[in-house]
Amino acid sequence: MGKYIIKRLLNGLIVLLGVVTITFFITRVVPSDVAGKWAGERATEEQRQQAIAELGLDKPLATQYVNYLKDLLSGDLGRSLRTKELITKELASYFPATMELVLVGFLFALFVGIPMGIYSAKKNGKMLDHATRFFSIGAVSLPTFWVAMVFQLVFYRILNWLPLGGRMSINASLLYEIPNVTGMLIIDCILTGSWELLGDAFVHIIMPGFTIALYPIGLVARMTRSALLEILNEDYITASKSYGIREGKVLWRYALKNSLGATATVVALSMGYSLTNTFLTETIFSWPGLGSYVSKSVTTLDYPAIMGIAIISAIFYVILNLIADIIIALDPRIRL
Amino acid sequence: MKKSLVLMLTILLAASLFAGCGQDGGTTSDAILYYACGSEPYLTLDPSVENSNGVCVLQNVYETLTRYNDQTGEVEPCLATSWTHSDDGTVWEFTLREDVTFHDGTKMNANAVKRSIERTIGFGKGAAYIWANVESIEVVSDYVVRFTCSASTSVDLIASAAYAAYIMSESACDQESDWFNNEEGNDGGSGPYTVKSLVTGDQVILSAYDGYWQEWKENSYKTVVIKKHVESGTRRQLLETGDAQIAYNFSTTDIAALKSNEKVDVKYVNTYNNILLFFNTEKEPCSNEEFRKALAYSFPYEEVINGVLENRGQLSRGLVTPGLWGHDETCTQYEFNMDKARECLANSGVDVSAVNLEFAIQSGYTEYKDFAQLWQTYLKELGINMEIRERGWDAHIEHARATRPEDRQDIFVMIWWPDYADPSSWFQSMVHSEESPAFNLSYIKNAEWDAKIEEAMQLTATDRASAEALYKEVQMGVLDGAHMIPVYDQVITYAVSTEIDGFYYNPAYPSSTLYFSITHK
Repeated sequence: MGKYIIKRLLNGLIVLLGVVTITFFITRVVPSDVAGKWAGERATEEQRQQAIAELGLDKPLATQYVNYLKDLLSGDLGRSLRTKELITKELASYFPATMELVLVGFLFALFVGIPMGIYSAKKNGKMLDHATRFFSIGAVSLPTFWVAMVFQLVFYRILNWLPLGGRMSINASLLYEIPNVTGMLIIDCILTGSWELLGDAFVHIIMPGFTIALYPIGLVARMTRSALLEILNEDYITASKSYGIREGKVLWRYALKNSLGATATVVALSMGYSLTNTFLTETIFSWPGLGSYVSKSVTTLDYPAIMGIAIISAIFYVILNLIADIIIALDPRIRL
Repeated sequence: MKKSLVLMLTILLAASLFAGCGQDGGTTSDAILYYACGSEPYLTLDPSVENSNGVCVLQNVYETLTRYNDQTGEVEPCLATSWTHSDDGTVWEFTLREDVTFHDGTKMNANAVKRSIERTIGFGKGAAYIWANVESIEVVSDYVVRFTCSASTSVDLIASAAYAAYIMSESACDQESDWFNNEEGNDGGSGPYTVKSLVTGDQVILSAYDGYWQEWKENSYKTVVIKKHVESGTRRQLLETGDAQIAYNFSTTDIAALKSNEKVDVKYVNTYNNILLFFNTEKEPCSNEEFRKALAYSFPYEEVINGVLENRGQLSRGLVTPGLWGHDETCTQYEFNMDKARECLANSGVDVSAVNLEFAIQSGYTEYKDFAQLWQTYLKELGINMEIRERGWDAHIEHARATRPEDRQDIFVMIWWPDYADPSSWFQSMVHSEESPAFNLSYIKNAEWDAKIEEAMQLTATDRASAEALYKEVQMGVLDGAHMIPVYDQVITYAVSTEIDGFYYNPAYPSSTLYFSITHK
């Protein structure tokens, strides 16, 4: 097992180096007025030259690449051309917000999706199964932005139960000290015991969290259902039933355990996917996360920022993949 | 049974959490002014560097030596009470107010002014280039500061700029940019508000500075929140529920809805931005003046403003936008006239069957695409084929700067605004000849105009009337020859709650308003 994990880790490092190299050269090939971004579009020639020297762009590409790798090893991702801020600082500010949203979304997905899949498999072919399948297909296919706006209309404008957007209300941000430990507000509130703020933060995450969760809910429900159906037809399940073991126990204990491998992989990968694709949800709910940072960086060709985002999402993918691999490896039926 | 109990408890718990919300605003004793902006409230809050939306914060936290009054076209005192300049416009002396303190408690004086501007010049970022002519800054006495320039320069206008002209405390001058962007909220200004806290790229909270040198009104807002809400629909809902008081830039459906709302006032405000078409005068067929005129007469100006922009634009008169000195209502403007277009086309002698024009537009701007397609249909009536090519800004501008004129587009579109209240920006950047084109994208090379522009810039400080006359001559020349055509002047929409008074938009300070002058009813 240990050997297996080390092997997967090394694989992950190679993937990371590949991502860094490819994004580095792609971002440099695309035509871009880097000096203009740094010193201003209308800067004088002298200021442009100064900017080029400052950014090290006067050196050959290979040297720039080696320098970038060196900086990377010491944890320096450079500065954004657009905001002139350290990329590490910007990522540290945007990433936890997105991470929190994705985590909450996935908690929703697991707690709603798995039971849904199980009941659907249990009631295979019955009304409930059809209803759940209808819902999960809808959840996968409904456009996020539309769902988000309908949520806002219903829960903010009409019912006024939930806030329109943001991570906390303005009053809360004026009244309370905002804890900053992990950058994930809910966790930080629990850690520091800021209970009033916790309530506020929780209320704010419901709508965006559920919007994010919608796609994985459908996915998880469908995966669980099909994996479970397959297993429920296995001989050992029939055998367990014939021993007179309660149906609930057979389903939750014996069948579900064996079907989770496939679900884990899907969940892990769609979580990685969500992390860089929360853009629409974040935009609509004014959530200060990575989403709009990614899109702004790409559209303005802010390549140090693009590199930073690519690296962080690659790391995240590698970690999630590793977790999924380990979960699958825990299954004794799989021989490493 | 057990399960349904758990379910009931969960629902109860969730409901109790919801119960507390939806009551934001109005519950605290001090009212909050909430500005919902459509994109990041700032890129950096370093006043030496910021060259973007951050003006909506900086204008309220920092002050400049002078301010430009768009109603009178005059430069007015702010931190400086008066100023004088040498006859040749190269040496300027500003006398400063003596009752101004920075937010850290230190006095605003000549030393702070010198260090602030030197810091901005030294960084060389953002709009620092506006000070390019300044050779030295000297402290004459505690409250008198002297600028020496390499040529005649209107330092009073530059000092009123919305970017790169802010004065900060000496301790702030020592700080790196990161200090200003700290989420705890740091600033070194002397303005009516201090930065209380930030959420990077998302939100700024300002609170009143009690030691401000101007008097606070009783019902002024002591707390201002500036928060990003990218969706037009979200901003609209915030205004409709009264959670936000000011928001800017809406979709047409949202404007229509807000207009019919009694609690909201929709304001169409002028800007100093105009959208310009550049013809490639170094390449067939746009090198032909009559052909260019045919193009100019075939553009549906009014239809674009009414139909495509839904009145978020107005007909241009010359290159310089209204409200800025140098603007001239009597400047020629092409009108949409297909008969004249046909006449010019016939005079040009260009064989249209061989023509395939490339109209280069920047991607991401639906209005450009919409008016390009509209224009395309009218050009087709003339038998002219035009292809629309969309590119991202970097590729768009690089294509226009290609070394060989044949490799460039035939028609280019770009938005322009002056760096500060001086029309020279249009002329120096887009009309004055350049060895390799930066923004002169009609590729104009006219020694006579160059001389006039240079003279006008020299005269700006000492004899503005003559400078204006020269700019007018150049504008007439550019328009008569249809080298470049201003298509429309941009108008933007603000929606403002009827609860507030005193909202004013000064186009010299883009995307910002002074919260200090706003009061609640």
